Amino acid sequence: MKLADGLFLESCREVAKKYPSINYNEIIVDNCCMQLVAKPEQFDVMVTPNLYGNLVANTAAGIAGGTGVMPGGNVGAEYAIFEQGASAGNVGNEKLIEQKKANPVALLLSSAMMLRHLQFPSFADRLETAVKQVISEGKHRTKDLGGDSTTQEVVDAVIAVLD
Amino acid sequence: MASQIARRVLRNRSLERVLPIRNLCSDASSNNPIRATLFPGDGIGPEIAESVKKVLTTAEVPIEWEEHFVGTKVDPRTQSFLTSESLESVRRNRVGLKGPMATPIGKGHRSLNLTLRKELGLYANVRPCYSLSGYKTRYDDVNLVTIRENTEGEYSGLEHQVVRGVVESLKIITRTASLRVAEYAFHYARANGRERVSAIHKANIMRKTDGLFLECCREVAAKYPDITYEEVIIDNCCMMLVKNPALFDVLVMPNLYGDIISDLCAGLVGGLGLTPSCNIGEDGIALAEAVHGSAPDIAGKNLANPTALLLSAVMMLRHLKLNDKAEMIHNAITKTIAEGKYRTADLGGSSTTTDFTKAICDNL
Repeated sequence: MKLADGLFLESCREVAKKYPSINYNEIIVDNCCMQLVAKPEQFDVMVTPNLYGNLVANTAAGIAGGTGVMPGGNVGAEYAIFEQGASAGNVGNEKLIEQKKANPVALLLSSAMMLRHLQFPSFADRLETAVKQVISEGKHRTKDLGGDSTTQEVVDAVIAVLD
Repeated sequence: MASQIARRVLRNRSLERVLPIRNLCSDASSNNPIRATLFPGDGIGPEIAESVKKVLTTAEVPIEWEEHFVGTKVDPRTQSFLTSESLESVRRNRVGLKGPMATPIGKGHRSLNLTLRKELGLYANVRPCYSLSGYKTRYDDVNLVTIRENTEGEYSGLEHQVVRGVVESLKIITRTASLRVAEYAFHYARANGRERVSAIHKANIMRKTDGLFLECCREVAAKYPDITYEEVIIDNCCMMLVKNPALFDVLVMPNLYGDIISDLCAGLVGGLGLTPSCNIGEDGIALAEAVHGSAPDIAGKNLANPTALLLSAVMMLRHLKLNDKAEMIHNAITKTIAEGKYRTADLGGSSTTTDFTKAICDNL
């Protein structure tokens, strides 16, 4: 889509010039998805138009562990709203609500992003460290991460390791 | 403006009915070989085409190849480097195999792939994607087929600048094209013993375009009650593919999603170097092709991996209903890769193209 995506690229290049210390490169979206699946570690920050961003975010979320763990934020000129980064699959899932087994990690990490946005990096760090510790210990995990804890159990575990 | 565009699109589209796919080879034998067009292509193309010819000859497949090369001058009849004789050859033989073609830089001609697609009316791109035992990736239970509508959608080539800094791109979805690709998807599923067809879409946002696509899929699904039909939103699909690709069987999609998803699936099983592909055209034409690049840096060095082209040739044989030969060659390829003794550089080994080809022939 030479004109439409072409305009997007032109704009990115203009901005890239103002940040010479940051590497900038361009990748076609189908190649990108293939690379993401095979070697996701080659990517750092990815900026995309609307539809591709939806696909890439969900693909990346799947690789990183699913919608239950990926944080996200929506940023505008005046306001910012933080929510989980990818929504596929578990929004409106009745069973998860009834059994109280939804994974709170994504929203917790999104809150940390919000704290950073509000310029409270130390609070953000404490929250993120606690969440990561609980996940890596592996004792309290919801169903989507292979465990069978409830939402509350995971939250209690995070509070317990908060320093 | 919109009505002018609609008129132009409908005029360009051939409104022929989809004819039943004829049985091309009810009595093929070595006395009555099937003629197939071969485009070796550029770069590593000729070497891997040699591999294919060698393997198929050793397997005694009754095929006679008509080789055509991409020319060095633009043929005014086709506005491309592909001559009209080459295109006639495919139209006549109704089946072909194509290696990687590098589109020459410059203006005044159409891209080679676009020429083939338009002139031969290739409307469906079919890519089977399965984990190759012996070549380990993070996923070992992939066994799906992506079927991509290849003539319209977001790639209709209709873009214009509204004012400076604002561009509009038109996505065209027609009933004809959607029905046609859905028909092929269900026909393929039935012919290959697949149980489920999933239509991938974003109709919650693009209600009219993807909505029309889904309507057409549903119409066709009703005619195939033995096959399960489901609809999956594209972002869900990406997530599910990456978390659990075994959930999918046959996927049918409009052009852009098909492009992205088929490459994503290729990534799941090892990349384009191992991915077969077949393009289906009106009137049962099939052009199998290797979708990787021409790799000019290793051309002529006997290092190239012929697997993609070989697996595409297998798809061609299945289309011709030479299923025994197809099975035999397919098993030889998977066995050779699984054994691990002969592997080309891209698979982590150090064999040459010719050694790898010989190993496959030995395994037949």
